[in-house]
Amino acid sequence: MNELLQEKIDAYLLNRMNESEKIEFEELLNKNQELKDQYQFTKTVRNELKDRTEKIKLLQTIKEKGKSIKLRKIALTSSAITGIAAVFILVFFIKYPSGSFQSMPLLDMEYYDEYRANGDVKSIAILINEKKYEEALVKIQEEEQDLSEMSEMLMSDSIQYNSLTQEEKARVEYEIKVYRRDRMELEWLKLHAYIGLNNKEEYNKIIKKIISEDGVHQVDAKKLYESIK
Amino acid sequence: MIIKTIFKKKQYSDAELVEGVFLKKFPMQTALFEVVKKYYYQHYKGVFFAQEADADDIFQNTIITMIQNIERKKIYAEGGIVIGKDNKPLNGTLGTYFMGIAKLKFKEWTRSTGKEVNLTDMNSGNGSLSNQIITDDWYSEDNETMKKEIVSDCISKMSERCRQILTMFYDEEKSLDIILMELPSFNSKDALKTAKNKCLGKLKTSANDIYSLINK
Repeated sequence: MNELLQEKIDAYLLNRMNESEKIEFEELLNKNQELKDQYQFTKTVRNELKDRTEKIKLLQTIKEKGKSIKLRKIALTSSAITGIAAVFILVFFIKYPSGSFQSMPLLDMEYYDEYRANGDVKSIAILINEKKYEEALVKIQEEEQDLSEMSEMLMSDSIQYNSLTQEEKARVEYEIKVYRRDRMELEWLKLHAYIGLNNKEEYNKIIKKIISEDGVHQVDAKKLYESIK
Repeated sequence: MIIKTIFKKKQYSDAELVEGVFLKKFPMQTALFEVVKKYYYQHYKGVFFAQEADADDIFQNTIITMIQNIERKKIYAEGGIVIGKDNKPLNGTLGTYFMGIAKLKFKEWTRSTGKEVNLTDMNSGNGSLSNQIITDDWYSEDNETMKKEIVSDCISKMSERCRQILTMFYDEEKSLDIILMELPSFNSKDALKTAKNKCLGKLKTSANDIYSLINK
């Protein structure tokens, strides 16, 4: 196809002809089969090039979208992880506010296995280790009530102490020892129950009291206090 | 687990993909792209040997042809299945069909670049692919559609320079003066015009060669 005719085909196809030129070209097209074939071929090339460009643009859009989705995924994953972490941190700080215990100290059950008395103290220790702090406090209050009655009895015995026989004196002394030990033990358990309930005011008060007394839990209480200072 | 659930992609059947692409639904076009891309990059090394950049070009030409085939209803969805040549269900999946086209594109690419064909034995590599090898009856029986398909194939395998000139001129409808400014390697408008016509001439020759071969 000579260049001049191809130029005409291109001009017609690309709408670069005026009306009279178009009419003239169309007349020529109807007369010349070779020109018509070349026109058809050029038109097909143009359409296929357009289609190819359209598809390439589509693929680019898909790829771009894929990239942005990937970035969004990364961003969302990061946000989700950050969010989840934030929730955990929040829950952590609600549960263990600044200055509080990072983990609940467990009571040594072997100690309570050997502990004297009717098993009430041991049952309280079990409740605390099972995180049933409210129930434990109720039991502690009951035990404290018993101790209080015992204290009254001992007080009256003490008042009459000088008039007591040696055997009675020994019994009273023993009961005082038991009373002191049980009271301290209940304080120690109450401390753990309040730690479990995160009642900072109460456990701070109790821990200081335990430290100030020369009891069996004094050393452990000091360690606990150091950890929350 | 929560994150995985949030990002879990919807799975489409082959028929849904074909139908969606035919209707030019972008999510389905994207889904098809993802499906065939995954399949292609998992399998092409078992079908032919090409450098990564060449494999990428072959992939692009293959997916263009595949979308065109769907748009031209060369394959279509009916009753939940994909129908192919002679109105028979497609023998294989869209992945294997895609690899069939990719193999042809690879052959075209080797011919156009003068490189030696290095096809892996498909039967030993991946048996399912052998069923989808596309032969001379690949083009549509309808003459006009066949001509379009041949031209499209020839465009995909023509030199990058020729494709660039023809695209600028016929698709982007840029004047020769504008193209000359954008492609400074041409000394004059006449040289550019000659190059453009030569590219068109070569394209016609290649298309006619294929057309004659098919109609022998």
